[in-house]
Amino acid sequence: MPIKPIPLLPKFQNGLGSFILQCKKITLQVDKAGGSSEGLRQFLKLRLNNYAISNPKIEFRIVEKHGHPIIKGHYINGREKAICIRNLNVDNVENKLNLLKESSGEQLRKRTNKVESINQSIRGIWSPLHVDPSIRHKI
Amino acid sequence: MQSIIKSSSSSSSSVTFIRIRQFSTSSTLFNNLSNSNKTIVSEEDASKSAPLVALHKRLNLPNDYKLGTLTRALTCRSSRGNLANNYGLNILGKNFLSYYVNEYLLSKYPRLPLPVLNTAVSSYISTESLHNVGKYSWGIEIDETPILNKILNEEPKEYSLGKLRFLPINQIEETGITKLTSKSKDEINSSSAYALGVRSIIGGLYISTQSEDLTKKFIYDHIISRKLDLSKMFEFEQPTRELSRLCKREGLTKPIAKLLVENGRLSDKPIYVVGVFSGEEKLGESYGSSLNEAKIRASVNALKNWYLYKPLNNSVPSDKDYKPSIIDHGIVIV
Amino acid sequence: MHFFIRSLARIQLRNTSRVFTSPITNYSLLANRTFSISSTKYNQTITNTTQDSKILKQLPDLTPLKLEDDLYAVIKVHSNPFLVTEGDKVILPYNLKHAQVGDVLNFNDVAVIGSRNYTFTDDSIDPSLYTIKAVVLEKTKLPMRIREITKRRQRKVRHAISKPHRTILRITELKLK
Repeated sequence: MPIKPIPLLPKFQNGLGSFILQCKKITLQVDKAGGSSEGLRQFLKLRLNNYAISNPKIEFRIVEKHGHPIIKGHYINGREKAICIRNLNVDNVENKLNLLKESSGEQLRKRTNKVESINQSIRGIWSPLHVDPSIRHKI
Repeated sequence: MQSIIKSSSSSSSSVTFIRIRQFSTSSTLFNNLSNSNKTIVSEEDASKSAPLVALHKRLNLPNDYKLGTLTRALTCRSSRGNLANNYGLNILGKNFLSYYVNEYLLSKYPRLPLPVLNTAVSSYISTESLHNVGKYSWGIEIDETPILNKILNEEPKEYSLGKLRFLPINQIEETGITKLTSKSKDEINSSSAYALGVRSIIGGLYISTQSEDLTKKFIYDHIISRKLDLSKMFEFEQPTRELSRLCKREGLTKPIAKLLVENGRLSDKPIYVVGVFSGEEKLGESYGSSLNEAKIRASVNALKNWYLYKPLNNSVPSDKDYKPSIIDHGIVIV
Repeated sequence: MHFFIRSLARIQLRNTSRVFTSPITNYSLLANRTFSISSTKYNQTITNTTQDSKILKQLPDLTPLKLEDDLYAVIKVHSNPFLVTEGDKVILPYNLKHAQVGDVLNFNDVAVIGSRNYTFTDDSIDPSLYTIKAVVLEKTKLPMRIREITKRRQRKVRHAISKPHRTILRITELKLK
């Protein structure tokens, strides 16, 4: 066989072709009686219905448990993000939910470059050997 | 025993009970059950499953795509229960996938050698590749919760409809417990189950919408849009020889390697840039730390330039405005 | 009169900047390469004079670029340039408040579109020549950083906390019309 194929797997780039929301599930852990859950309880009572309707791509799950209220986002990459929302009012609870919704589940990290790319450089890498010989630097 | 189960399935409250019985019954009874009349999940039941509805919306499936069909696509033949399975949808989806991926690659790279073409097709639609699509880009979950836990958690029976259901290969081996029954042929690993699910969702899209265009667009958006660098999939055994054979076949003058630039010939890290020329025309160019290496790299570059030729007209035969482009002579035989 | 001169100057500027730079590998043409003066600012609004609008409508011929495989572009967001290709992630150093995750953005301030061998530059390329789109992937933050701020000969240490916003886009489409 003159040519041997090397098997490779294609790389998925979210947004190319189709965009898929990375947050798939949000768990809202609430205490029935605790004072720190007051904001979350209000949210569940007044706003959750509309919020869930406006975000049909996310599954919402309510869990009753003693202790401070916690919201947890479950992501496609298998990671989870948990935020303790004790003593937060309704608006702040919604803001924290938006934060979970808008995240991709990736761990927060430093971004050193303005643009991250897996494509090969289109203009190529500059080579000193390809400079016009008349103006090339001579040692 | 079968009659007991059937009578109890009429009352919805005891459905969990059936599952326990099935868990303990022998595999033959289970097979009988799965082959007998299968129930198709009603829209009302399916819409109660939050993961199912979320998956439907996440994939932007059209409204014609019923939730019951999606449930069916996620139910593998080996799964427990009496639900309709994805056996047929899988075959349909597989045919769609292989047709559109083959068509796309052949029209985009008409000179692609057959072994590379086959590998490229399989890297788009192999089990492993579709497993990645199902798990890491669509976020389908496996129904892994043991039945006992489901009962204890008072989980509604519809909840697991949105998850991938199959009979996994029992990998957990506990000390002191030996499995007497032989391995069931229905047992599949999770990656094949994911692949079945993904293919069936594509098959289900065609069944629901009866539209080839929508199915094609879905496959292009989710399967073909992934990045695959074909130039890294070649490995040549005798590139210089193959290039000279290619030139002979195409009626070009014999390829000659010419040294374009060099630097540090007398040092321990010399660089040579060699171009392969056929007459006046440059076929390929590359670098190397020895003259021979540079020559081989340049020939590889020239061969890749030939095999990875992309015509400007990017239409495929299933397009309406398709115009046939070149048909290649095929791979060079050395 | 002054206005007329200015518009003439603009036409000239446009014409000079619409010259393709020759392939870099071709040494003989290297000396003849023209460089556009993209830093020069001029009035962007289309004037009512017939002569002017005719010239503005005359679009440049981008055939050499259309024949190339891959393209790159320098897009500007709030005049901040990003060199992108299709499939790249663009990291904006702020929270894009009015865009939701999954929204598609259309870029209309582009300074350069080019390929391996050719580059087309203009102060702001006519948006009818290209489509560049991006999707909002996520709105995230950098990891929290605590800086210790001290003053000389004073024992107080102030802890300055920063956790700046980032909006991440993916370029989904980059092509010439």
